[in-house]
Amino acid sequence: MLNAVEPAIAVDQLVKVYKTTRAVDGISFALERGSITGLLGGNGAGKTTTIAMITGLVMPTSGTVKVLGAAMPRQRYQVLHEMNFESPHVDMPHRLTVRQNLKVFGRLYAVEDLGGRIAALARELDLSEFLDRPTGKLSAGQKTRVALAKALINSPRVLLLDEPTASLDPDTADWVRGHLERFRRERGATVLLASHNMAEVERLCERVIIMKRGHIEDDDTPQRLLVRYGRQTLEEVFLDVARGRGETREAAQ
Amino acid sequence: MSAPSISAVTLAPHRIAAMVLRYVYLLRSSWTRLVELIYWPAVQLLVWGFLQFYIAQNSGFFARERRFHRRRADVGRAVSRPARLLGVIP
Repeated sequence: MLNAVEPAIAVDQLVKVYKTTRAVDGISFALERGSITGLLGGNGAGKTTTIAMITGLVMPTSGTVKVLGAAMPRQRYQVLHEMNFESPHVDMPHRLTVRQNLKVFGRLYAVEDLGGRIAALARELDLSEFLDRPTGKLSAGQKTRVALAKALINSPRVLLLDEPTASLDPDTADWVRGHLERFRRERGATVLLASHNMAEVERLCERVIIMKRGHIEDDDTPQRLLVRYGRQTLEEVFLDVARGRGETREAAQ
Repeated sequence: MSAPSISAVTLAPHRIAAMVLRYVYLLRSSWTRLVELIYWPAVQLLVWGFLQFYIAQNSGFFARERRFHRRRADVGRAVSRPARLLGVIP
């Protein structure tokens, strides 16, 4: 049975080696239920591999991942229906209409009253006008909204997001962030958000994990990171960590 | 890290139905896929059918044996022909 008091996501000494490359090198963290955490890092830092191991899509070389108390990927069938994942880099079948895609994913997750759920999501995410259009013929922004609808179709308790506002104009991106905040508050969901948009992370996340070359370089609240690094924005903190200036600056202080 | 055990895998009819639905939608949206669904198996049937027919006719065990004996008889006849012409053998 799933343990109600365990963290939503618990990662312990997680390692992933691809031939000679250590994509993820012994990271550990635990996310409280109902929290929203930002996973930051440059290209090749290991964010996507970490998310893939949490979803059970990639087998870790060593270490453990637990989602809602279930060991991944061994016990994934106990929790997969409680999770969802969104990435604009993972395409849905282009020929299927938005409604058909949502129907397929809704059935995969055994969503009750699927028609009603799709209608509600279409209202919330403003998809109604292109619900019967093939997904391949949508603009990048529309595709991102559809991907978000797919991620929310089963009202997940654990939501993993990879660049959720990529390709969106500032107004729509802001609206999506508001929607995510509202969803998290109402559902009490745990959200892990990988993003390069520092303003987004600053606004949404109560905790930030910064990765670099497979390691966790820093892990704290955005406010405490700004104070510790003596910076005004999270982007400056990110650049300090990426360029290896973080330790020097902290030591100088 | 141990591999996922087979017992952890459960058969879920709703997941199977979802995948079937996905392919039904895909086939409905594209007549070329539908044609290919019939065309390629038909090509496979014809190619392998004719090939098997040819092999059965030409390379079967008994076919090989019969051909071997026929060839041995031909060689024997060719060798014995001069002797027969010379009246050495009847």
